Amino acid sequence: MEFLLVQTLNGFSFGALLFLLASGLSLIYGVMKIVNIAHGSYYMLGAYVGLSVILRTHSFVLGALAGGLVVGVIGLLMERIFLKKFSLQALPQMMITLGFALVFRDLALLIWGGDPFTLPCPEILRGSTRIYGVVFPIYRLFVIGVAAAVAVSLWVFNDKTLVGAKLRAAVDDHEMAGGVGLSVPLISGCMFGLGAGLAAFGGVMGGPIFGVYPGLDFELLSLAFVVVIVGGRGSLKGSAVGSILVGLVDNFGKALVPELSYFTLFAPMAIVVAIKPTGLFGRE
Amino acid sequence: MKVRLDSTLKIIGLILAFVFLAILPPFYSSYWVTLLTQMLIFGILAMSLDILMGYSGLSSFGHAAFFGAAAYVVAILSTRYKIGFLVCFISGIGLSTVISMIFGLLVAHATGVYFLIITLALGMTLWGLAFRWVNMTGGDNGISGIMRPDIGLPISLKDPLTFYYFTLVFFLIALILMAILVRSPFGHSLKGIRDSESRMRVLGYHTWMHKYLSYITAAAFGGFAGVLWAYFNGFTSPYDMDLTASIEIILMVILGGPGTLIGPALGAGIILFLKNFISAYTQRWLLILGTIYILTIFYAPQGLVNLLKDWTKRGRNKA
Amino acid sequence: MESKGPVPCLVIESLSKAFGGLRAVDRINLTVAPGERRVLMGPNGAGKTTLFNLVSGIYPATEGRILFFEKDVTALPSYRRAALGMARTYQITNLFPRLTVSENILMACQALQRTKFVMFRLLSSYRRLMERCNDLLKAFDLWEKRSELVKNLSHGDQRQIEVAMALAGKPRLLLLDEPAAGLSPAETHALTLLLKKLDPSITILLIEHDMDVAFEFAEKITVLYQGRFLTEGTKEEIKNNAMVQEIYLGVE
Repeated sequence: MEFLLVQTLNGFSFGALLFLLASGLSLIYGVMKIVNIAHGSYYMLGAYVGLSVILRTHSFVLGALAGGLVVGVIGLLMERIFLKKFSLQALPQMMITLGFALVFRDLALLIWGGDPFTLPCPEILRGSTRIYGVVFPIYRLFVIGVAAAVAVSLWVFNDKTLVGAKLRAAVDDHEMAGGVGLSVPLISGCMFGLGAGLAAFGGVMGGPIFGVYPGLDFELLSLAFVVVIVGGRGSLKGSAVGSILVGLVDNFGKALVPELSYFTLFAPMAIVVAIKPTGLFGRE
Repeated sequence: MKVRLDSTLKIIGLILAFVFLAILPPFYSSYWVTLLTQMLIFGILAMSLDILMGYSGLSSFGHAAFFGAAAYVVAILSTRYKIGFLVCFISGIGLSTVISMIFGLLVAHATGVYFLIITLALGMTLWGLAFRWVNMTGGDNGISGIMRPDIGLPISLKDPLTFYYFTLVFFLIALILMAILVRSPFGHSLKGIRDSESRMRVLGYHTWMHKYLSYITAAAFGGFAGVLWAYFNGFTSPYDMDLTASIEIILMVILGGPGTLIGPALGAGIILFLKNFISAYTQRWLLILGTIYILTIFYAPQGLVNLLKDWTKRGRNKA
Repeated sequence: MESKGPVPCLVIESLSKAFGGLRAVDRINLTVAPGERRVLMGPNGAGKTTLFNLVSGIYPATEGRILFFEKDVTALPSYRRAALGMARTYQITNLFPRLTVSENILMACQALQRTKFVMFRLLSSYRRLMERCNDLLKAFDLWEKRSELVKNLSHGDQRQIEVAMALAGKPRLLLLDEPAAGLSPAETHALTLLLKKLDPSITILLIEHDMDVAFEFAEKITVLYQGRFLTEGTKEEIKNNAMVQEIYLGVE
């Protein structure tokens, strides 16, 4: 029983991080039809930037903010300078993001080296707590909480605010949106930047648990794609449910059949694709 | 004369290829012989991906998985069970084909971007198997000690030059088979599906079946290359089949020109040459590869071979 | 036993297609006899092309049935309907622009044959297939241009290829969607002659905006308006039909 609870918590905390990563990817894919191969790289870069800032300033908060902001700006610039030339051409855009993924990987190697790092956990969140007699690391609970808060904020932003409505308009109909005065390029750029920043923020959040190393970018990218496949693209609910599912499957897989762990993701993917190819909450 | 420039270039190309690949190798240093062997192997791999990307219009981001799977089969069978070449060859291609038959069921419905995502994810799950199933695959360390096969030749395949010619024969077999494939009725159907799938369906084509078979065929040829790689390299690891590996193959196809078969083979040669050359001076291969990618998309999105075709056409029109 | 007469080629029963709230096609009934030359008319938005898309299987029907020589094809995918003998052309030319004229026609010729799955034999080695392609090329005056890329050809030539491809599989029902669209008067005349020379056993359903072509070609005309059936009759009846004149004059 204890095993079950602990593993479930771990699955949820991993799912929380996946949500931060995948929600941005799903948004960019569903909204802008861009498959961003560099998305995992954003997570990784965020963690690295966060690491450097935390080591200098000893402030986790600053690290998280810096990671999110720096990478968010990188994302924005990437979209505005390189991607907009090929708007609506999925394949070239994807290839460009792919090129950037390689560039980012190498730059990270150059700047931070090839050794894995674990980000220092903030003082007040260290240690564990007992819930129903089971020991849980506080930090993991914190991560779940933060992701939940982000999820709610995103939902509110999307559904309830004017800016969210403008975004949805730009998504549904570029031309009309432009026609009524919305700056579609600005919105596209900001969306991309937001997605990137979220992923990077996730990277810093995940830093104390999973660390950062070259190679993390593609490992997580694949997981994020599984989330999008399972949850459906462009759907916030789908990202949330998908992330939790993938987090749980991956975690239980690692715990129960470690030799087959990454491969266990094949099962949920196959089931979803067979039953509902557009994903659990996908449209079309 | 319209036809002249085109076929003249082709004939010159063939002669050059024959000279440099068949006649001169005994005079090359072993560095070059080894590099050329590698180019041939990846040439086969790139051409196999071209069947999917260039001829069927399906961009697969998990193709290296089939390459690696076959290599692992050879590695495991030959190092652990001392199994000979023929069985390893058939088993390697066999496993890649079987895996693609299963994966294909999930992907053949997909198109465009979605196909990409799902092939990426599937490819990585296979990588995960290679990486984590330590008992079987050696995990991160891979499997080493794969010996060159003994197929009863007077000269041992351990000799780089002999293995080079061995590989060349296989390259030619693969090239001829794939060249026939793309000029066959099946290959013709693929081109139609690539250009307009809905039109094809109305004409009477069961496009799903064609895509499924195309996926499997590409995987089989990818496995073909993988078998050769295991014997060539003597060592196989998860890095042969991760996302970066799949991405490199895609760049080979794009650089050379999708839908030309020879283009991707050339692309493979160029990329491998650059990789070897650049790696001698700097560690920054990925950075350069990434930049090449971005530049190619911006300036030569149709690839080098198609660019060349356009130039010759323009030259022809002027004359 | 009562003799029922020839089996109708196409029977459409209460066929509808809704896109969200919009009913592009609303409970249409239509019966076409084998060998008939039927023209579908109606102003823009009448649902003519949507009807074609429903019959050829591109859109699934929201309600209703489609019977092709008494076989219910409503749930069949496009390629199965093609195998049963349906072929169509498109209002906006829908060829394979990067392939040559012969390659386009070959694509149509092998569509209904098992050979399309053969992987390790050259397409050019299939003599009968190549002959059929050559026959079509010559019949449609495309022989000289057979090695040209379709995207480099004139609009008129492209429309010819469309019809040639539709006939390649020896269809029993031919759906022609505005074949004269964008053609010059001379080209239109050539096209009309060609259409009239088509095998009388093929049933032809033609959508045409050009009144002259429509009236010259039709035995019977069905008029649609805003997705619904308006009226049906011979050339004379339709020409003199007040409702029809109104919807056309009102729009033009």
